[in-house]
Amino acid sequence: MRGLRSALGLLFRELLGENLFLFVAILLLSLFPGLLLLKEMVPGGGEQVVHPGILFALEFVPLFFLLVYGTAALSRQRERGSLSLLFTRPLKREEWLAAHWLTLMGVLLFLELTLSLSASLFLRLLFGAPWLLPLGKHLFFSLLRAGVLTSLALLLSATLSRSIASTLFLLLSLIGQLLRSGLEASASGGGFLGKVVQGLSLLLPDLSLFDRKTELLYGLPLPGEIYLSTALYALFYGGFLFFLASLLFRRREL
Amino acid sequence: MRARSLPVLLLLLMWSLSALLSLHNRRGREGSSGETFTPLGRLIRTFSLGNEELAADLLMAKAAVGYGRRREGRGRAPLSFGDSFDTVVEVDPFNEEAYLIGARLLSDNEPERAVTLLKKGAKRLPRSWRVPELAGSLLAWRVGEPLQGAELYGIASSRPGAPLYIPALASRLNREGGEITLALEILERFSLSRGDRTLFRGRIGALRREEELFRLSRSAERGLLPLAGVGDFGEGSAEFLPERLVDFLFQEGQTLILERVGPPYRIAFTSSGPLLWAGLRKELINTRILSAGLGRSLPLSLQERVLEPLFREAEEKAKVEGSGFWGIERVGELDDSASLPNFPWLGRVRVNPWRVERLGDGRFRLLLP
Repeated sequence: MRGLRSALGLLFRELLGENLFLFVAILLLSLFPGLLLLKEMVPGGGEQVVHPGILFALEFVPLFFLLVYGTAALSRQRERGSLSLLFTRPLKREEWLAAHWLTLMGVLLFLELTLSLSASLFLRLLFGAPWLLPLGKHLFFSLLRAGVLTSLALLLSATLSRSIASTLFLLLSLIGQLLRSGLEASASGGGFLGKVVQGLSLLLPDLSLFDRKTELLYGLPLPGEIYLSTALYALFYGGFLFFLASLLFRRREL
Repeated sequence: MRARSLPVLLLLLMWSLSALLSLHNRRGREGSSGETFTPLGRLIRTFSLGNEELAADLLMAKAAVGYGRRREGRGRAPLSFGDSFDTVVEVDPFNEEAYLIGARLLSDNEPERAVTLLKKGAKRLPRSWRVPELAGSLLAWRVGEPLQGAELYGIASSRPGAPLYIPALASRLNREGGEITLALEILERFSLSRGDRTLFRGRIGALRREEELFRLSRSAERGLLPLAGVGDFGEGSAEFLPERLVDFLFQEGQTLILERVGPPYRIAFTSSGPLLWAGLRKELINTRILSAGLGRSLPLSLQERVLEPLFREAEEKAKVEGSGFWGIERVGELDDSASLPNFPWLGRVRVNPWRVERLGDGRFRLLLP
């Protein structure tokens, strides 16, 4: 446990110390396109209870952040050769992986909270928009999604080189996001291929489950069962990826 | 062996649980509203890398499929089709079919949204008559705004290639809405633009007459009101006569009352086809008032300055001679004159609800509003 704590401290210092300006850049990058370009993401349809740009930004931040840092977390250390030095300390590999997961999630939580609050304040001051209320729900789904994505990024980072890991991460994230449309298309086509796609889809991360933008945007009711089942899915699938990562990382040459 | 297989079992358990939950959620979502929202058109336009038309066609196909799904109550569909078609026309603003198809689909449930879409199209496609024509039709018959519909039909009629029925419809809607001048203008403009004077000749003539009659009625209305106020009907009737006359002139369906309002003057109130008629002396005044007022508006100041002395003069003469009168009666009865007092008439003014024209010999046919 002490090992985990020291590892966490190490990683936080490394991430925040080296990349603070980059985080600010990510925030601005995600905030301004979100607020300005996507202001009319849903042009005039119904009464929106939350700004669609914020929802977009909250989804964009974890993806971009994990693409840059998550997929590089272990592979960069391995490529630098610092990983073998690190394990001269009394630290288990699972603990190191867990430290990475917690650090990435911690930074993501910080980024998303900062983003939500600043965007809400910005909209409140400029347009007098209502704030905070629906953002909490979106943060919930966004963080669950980020948890699964972090596990995925660590799995790829633990097993593959940095460039392949980031490419694969991007690909799987996109597939995960579009999974539902693909499944619908294959289901409507029917046949053997449709069934194969349906089966394969269970192996891939189904990120479309976390996509509740429409409901949040228009203030549509979301039953409590949705929150529970989505959280459980994130827990089990994220856990599955994490355990797979730790199994593979444990057996891998440093 | 046991220690090695435990993590694998744990992995399998977690995966199978997540798969079950994923399946459960998928089924749950199929049964839910299943609505999607449409991204911003400008974004798609940027990312289409110059293939806006193709992107717009795909989006339109997607929206149309979504519309079918919504109708059949299955699968996912856009939350608002207005949004979908807004996006389509934002990606490719010069696709006439996108406006037309979008509006036709939208008109089912969101006719106002369809009109908004078409109005955008009418601005962006200045040579298309079909877009404003559809907007006009929706406004007139779906939204229930015939005058706004007429305006859009008017725009459509000014576009090249517009068929003959469009100006005819625009004119008809305007006429029914009381905009006779506009109705006339549309037909005249269309006839001029086609270089064919014979187009709508009969209708233009009828509208010109109607416009003239309308103006006459407006002027006559102004001339009649002070006339009704002249107190030459006896002391008792002077108080209520103006109100009753005004009521009669501007309301249909009143019962005929032939009323003696003090010798030798009479006034009659009728339900339909009423007549305003003038007796021996007042005929002069009536004729002058109507002549002065008909065909142009008569300002109140002029009425007071010019007509008032004439009223007074006529009043005096009528009192002295005891033979002047004016009044209103039903057409048929007046023509027979059987029920009328036996006064020497010099002329009369005839009033019908929908007509105003000069009949000659100091007689006018008036349009009542």
